[in-house]
Amino acid sequence: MKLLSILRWTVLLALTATVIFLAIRFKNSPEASTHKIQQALVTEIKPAMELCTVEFIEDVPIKAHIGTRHIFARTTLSGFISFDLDSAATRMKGDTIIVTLPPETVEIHESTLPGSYEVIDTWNEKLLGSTRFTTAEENDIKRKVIDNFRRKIYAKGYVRQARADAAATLSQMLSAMSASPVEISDPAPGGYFKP
Amino acid sequence: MLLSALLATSLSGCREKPSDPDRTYYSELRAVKKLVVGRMTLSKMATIDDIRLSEAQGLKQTASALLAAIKPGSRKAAYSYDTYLRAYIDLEKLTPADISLSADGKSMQLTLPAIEIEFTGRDAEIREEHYRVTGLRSEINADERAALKEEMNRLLKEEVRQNPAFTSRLTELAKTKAVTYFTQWGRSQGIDVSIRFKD
Repeated sequence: MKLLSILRWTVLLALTATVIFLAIRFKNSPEASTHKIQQALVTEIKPAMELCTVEFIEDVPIKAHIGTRHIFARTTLSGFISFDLDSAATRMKGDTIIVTLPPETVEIHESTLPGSYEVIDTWNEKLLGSTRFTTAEENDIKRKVIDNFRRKIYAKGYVRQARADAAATLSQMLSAMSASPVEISDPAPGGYFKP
Repeated sequence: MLLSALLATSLSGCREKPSDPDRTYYSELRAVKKLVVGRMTLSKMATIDDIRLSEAQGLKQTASALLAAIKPGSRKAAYSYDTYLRAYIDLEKLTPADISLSADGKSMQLTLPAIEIEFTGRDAEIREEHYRVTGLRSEINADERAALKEEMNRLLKEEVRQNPAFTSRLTELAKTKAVTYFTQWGRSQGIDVSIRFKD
């Protein structure tokens, strides 16, 4: 009699577990949706006068976790280092014009090349745990990836090189443009980034 | 600011003009290489919604539409992100023939390389404008967002390629900026510069 009761409860528990498992699988089953994509809108258009000295493009792996949820993805980051010529400060020292090299602009974006962002795997250490990352969580992970990439750009000396190139180019260009001798001053040869 | 200072000093200065001005100006300008003269930001938005049974095409879509109809709840979302373009002049394409200085050295004909436009990238992040997934509907995950962004990117590039209105606005603005810059540069040399662009 007792054995029958244990068997009954075991079957009931197994059935309940199966139903829960199937319900979770059913809820999380991939769904195909329609995508309605709107026309592109111009949100900003502005003139610029920038000297561009270094450009880069690199594939970067993304490996991150939040609690027991993990994500592995790959992104192609592209960017450049430029200098806004309109904001270059000038002063006179005797008959020499001192031009101060402006702070560098290091722009890092996700590339627009096809396949520039690919989610390779998402998983949860817990059985039946959600593998979903919210948009805010994913954005936060990507922001950190870009911040790390920016640090790498400075650490590898790309900015130092870009500033040196910009100083040389400006010196060559402005010396002949001006009636007075021109000197380029660079108060931060390694760049302005403060980690 | 930079040009104003140069202009001020050159008017009061007394440095000699270069012996071969055409060549000197050509080398100076060519050394700049890539001069960025304009920027543009484009925004793209997309929505995710269920496939209606009446609109479903093929077996796969019909099965998805059926599944969506069976599952209780709603599944709707909207996402957007920005893409960046810039207009530039590749001064390395300048040839000695593009700079012609008059005999008296007071006027110059400068033919600049055509304004070129390129994509510099897009936001790595995506903006979630709306999100409503209820009932037993599956959440929208990173995979689906990545696939959507890829599709948005493909369509945006196609749109920019097919609709010259996007690039012509940026090109015009960039030309105006370049003309102002090089005219001022010429003035700083005491030269009246007439600027043209190659096609």
